[in-house]
Amino acid sequence: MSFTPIEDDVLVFPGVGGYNFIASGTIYKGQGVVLVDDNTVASPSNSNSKLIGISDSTITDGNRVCIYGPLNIVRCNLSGSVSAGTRVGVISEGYISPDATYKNAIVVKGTATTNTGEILILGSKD
Amino acid sequence: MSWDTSDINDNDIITQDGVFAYLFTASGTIYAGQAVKIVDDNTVVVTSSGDDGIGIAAMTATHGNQLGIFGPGNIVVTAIAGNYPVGTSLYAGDYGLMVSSQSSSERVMGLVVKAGVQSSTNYKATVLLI
Repeated sequence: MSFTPIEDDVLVFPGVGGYNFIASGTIYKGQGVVLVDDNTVASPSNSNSKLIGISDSTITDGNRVCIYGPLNIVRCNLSGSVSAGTRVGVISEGYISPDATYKNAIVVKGTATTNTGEILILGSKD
Repeated sequence: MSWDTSDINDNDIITQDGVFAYLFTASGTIYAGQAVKIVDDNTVVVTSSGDDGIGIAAMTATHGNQLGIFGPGNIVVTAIAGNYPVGTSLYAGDYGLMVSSQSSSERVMGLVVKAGVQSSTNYKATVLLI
């Protein structure tokens, strides 16, 4: 499985502004990211990571990237067909999934045909 | 326990703006101040015990109409189920009333900022939504 950047605008409903981080490796538009170093984010390699936000654009290693974090409703790629209301988090390659260990987001809209969706990112899994 | 529509008026709810209210479609009638959860695509419904609540209705809306939902980051005034002390964690409860006891593994949706004043049926309190 490899990540396909989403085509639509990432931000659906603004809660707060986007954060400015440095990309570690290539980050694709719509990909879920985690913190990996000081002010640096990357797409995770496993399902035990804590989602901090969704990338607003496709950016290569070392460049600045806008990340929409908690309190925003954003578009993303889901790991499969996931119903609205399901608690989700980030898994390998930045997909959003109910299989994540740390579920700090809720699906607001799920589109089964494309496995894309909209999620409300929360500050905590609890 | 039930929701008393005389407890909360539309203009009462927000006390300190944190972030914008989200726009959703109502499933069934939702009264201003009730806690809601996602029930379908872009659609919210009044919570029951054990639900993952996402916010508080900013206004009263009937089935199929759109309404604003104050989500995490806002401080709101609403009716809750008991006279809980400041700092109490609140979970979604029946009738859209937040409660202090967790039913299963549902998320914490608020913290009491100002303890409730008893109204006709429930307790009117100030809550930070998280």
